[in-house]
Amino acid sequence: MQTLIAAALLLLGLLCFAFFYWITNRFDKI
Amino acid sequence: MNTNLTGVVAMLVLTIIMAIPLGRYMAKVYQGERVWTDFLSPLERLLYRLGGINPAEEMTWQRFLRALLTINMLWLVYGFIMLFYQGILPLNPDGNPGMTPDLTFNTVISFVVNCNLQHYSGESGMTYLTQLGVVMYFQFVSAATGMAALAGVYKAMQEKQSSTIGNFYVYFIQSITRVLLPLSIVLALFLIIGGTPMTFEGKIPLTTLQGAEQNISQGPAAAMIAIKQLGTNGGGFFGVNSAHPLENPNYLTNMLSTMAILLIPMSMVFALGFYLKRRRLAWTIFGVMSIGFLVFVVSTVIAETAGNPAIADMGIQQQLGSMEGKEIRIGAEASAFWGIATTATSNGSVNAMHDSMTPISGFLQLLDMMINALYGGVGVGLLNYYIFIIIAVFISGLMVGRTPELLGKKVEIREMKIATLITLLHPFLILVGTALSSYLLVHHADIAWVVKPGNWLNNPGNHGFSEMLYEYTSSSANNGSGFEGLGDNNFFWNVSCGIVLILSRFIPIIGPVAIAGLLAQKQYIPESSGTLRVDTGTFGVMTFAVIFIVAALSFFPALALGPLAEYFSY
Repeated sequence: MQTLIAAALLLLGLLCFAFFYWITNRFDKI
Repeated sequence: MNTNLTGVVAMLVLTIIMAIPLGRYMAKVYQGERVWTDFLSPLERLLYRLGGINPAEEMTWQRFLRALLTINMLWLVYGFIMLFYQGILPLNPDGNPGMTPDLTFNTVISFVVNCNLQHYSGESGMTYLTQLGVVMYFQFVSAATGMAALAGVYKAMQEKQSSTIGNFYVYFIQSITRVLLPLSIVLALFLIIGGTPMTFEGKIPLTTLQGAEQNISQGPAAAMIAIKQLGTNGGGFFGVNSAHPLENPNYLTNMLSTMAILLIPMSMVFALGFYLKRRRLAWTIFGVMSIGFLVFVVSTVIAETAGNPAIADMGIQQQLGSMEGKEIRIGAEASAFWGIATTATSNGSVNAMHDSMTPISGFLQLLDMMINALYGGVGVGLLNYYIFIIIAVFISGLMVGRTPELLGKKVEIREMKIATLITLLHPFLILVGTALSSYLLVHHADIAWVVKPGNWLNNPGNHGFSEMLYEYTSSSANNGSGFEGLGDNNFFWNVSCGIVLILSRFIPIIGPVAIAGLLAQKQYIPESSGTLRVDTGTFGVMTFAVIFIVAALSFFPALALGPLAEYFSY
């Protein structure tokens, strides 16, 4: 269970980076 | 002037004296000019070859940011795995366990983003492998990330017209090899001489004078403490950070540590002037930052040396000032100075308990982090200030009826949209986080979590509110200091602060780099008599006003509910 929660939280962190890539592209066109 | 005050003045003056030549040196490093550390070039070339990096590549701002984000994302994965499984990894002589998932999430993000907010105690929550291989490693690379981002902005500001802003990896590697590593080695040696341990042996068992048995934690502390200060990281080797007698053994190590906290953030302002050959601009920025900083320092020193009125009412004399939560070897003045230096620079290390300081000091420490641009963290502090300059240029342009320009580049709607978003993000994260935690505390105090919301706070009322406000302010400013008195090692605080930490790190880096890159692409307009000069005292006052108004409008209600209410209610 602990490993599953850890994997979910790691995924959350990676999603944040996906958001940052999106923002970088977005600021180019804002 | 008493000895303690002399010590404070000496720390400040000596730091400025060292920051000017260091700034000149850093400008030369980032411009690729010859410097005395060129003997490290073979090492750098080896690192480029190992990483598959072409150091001659000129990057667009988009490519520059993607490189920055990608390398940070890889560190997140690496650090997460290391911390979660540290209990079964080597270099663990005390048998410390792996971290829980939520504490891993908080800790790894905290160190990747140069914050070093610690919801664990180093003695029992980390192993020697993770102290060195995760914490200390991230203290170097996260600091270098901020410095490299700023170096890209220097390059963009210097260009007459260009679509590129330099190479992120080159700036990043050079920040470590040419600046952070040499300075850290020197400081670590001084710390070892001062009494800080540097060993891989486990705890030392000893018998105290009272006859009790104690196990004294030690470890490879000196190396980590040096970069913790120089890189404005702040994460302590020991739980109580630089209040610990092995982390900060005496007044001399305290002076060196305080100067190390301020040195690189100050140097980067001077480096801007040397890089752009606009020293007057650097002195204007430095002047605005220093005036704000000095007002904070003087007010805090006065508040702490005056003593605690609640203790005075008990009839207890306080010749040494308000000494609750402070170390006698450091004193009230140097603790007050450190408190402002650490919150101004996004460092976050502490040599005294901020929770125990007087309400005025708590108010100023909070405000320092809310502004987050009075020197600020390495690299990122000046990036934050750059956003305020953009806003000040725009408002000044509107006031005199001209198209706003910054160093020959028109500031238009796109740059202002980005600057506005970045400016609003910081109060948004702090206030939403504090509001959410306050709501849970009041309306759902009995949720069956490991630590019920009703048990989060050690202090009731306004001071308790300040503890929650401070936690999110420290997270959003990527500061990492704790007001403490808050039960923060639980799922809610670990995850919510982790999200605030990551958002408040990378978006405020992306914004200024994007603005600088967009401005660099524009046609250069030669300066004329009608150009708004940004290196004058008038513009400095304008920037100061922008910073003050933004901070006051965003944070005054929250500060009124916390430290100000506490001050006026006694």
